[in-house]
Amino acid sequence: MKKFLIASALALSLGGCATYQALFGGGTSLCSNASQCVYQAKGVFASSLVLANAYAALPTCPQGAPVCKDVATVKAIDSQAHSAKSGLDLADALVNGGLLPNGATPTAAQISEAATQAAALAQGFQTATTSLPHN
Amino acid sequence: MNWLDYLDMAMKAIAALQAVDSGVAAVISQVNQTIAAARADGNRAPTQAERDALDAVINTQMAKLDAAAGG
Repeated sequence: MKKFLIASALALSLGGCATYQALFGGGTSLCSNASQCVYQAKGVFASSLVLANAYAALPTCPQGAPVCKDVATVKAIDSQAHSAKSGLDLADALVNGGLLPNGATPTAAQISEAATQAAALAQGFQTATTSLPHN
Repeated sequence: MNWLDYLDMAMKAIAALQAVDSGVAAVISQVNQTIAAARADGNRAPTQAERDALDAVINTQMAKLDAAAGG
């Protein structure tokens, strides 16, 4: 009975992952300019934060629970989230009329690079959160 | 624990998973709708209000994660 119930919960959670991928177009980018792409990257980041918080809400290990959170992992994910958010905010400002740290106007190539970096940051955080035990 | 305890645990896990799925779907839906609207509207950038709305979601989730991490 225990194995069946845990297997059922895992099956549902795998279904959730499939929904997650399908809703974002199965990895196909929806955006067609730098501002839209950074917005999409921030959307991936926001939805990954929901997953991170679901993990953080689990009972703390080890309590005999079949699925539990490791406190050190929560702290590591939180730290990674702050790094990703800083990068995403910088990219967001840059692709929406912001200036470079030296006060110069970014070139088209720099704006494009900012969008690429934002996507990489969001995908890195998404990978980290979707590999957590509850997902 | 007996089988009723495991059943209760599984039901709670399923409810939690459904809530997560719903939360993720809501964010994705918001983002997809905004990008679709921007593309349909001359391929414009998301407006400041649209970006602020997404930032509000991020800030709420970040605050929750910070609290869980003890910071």
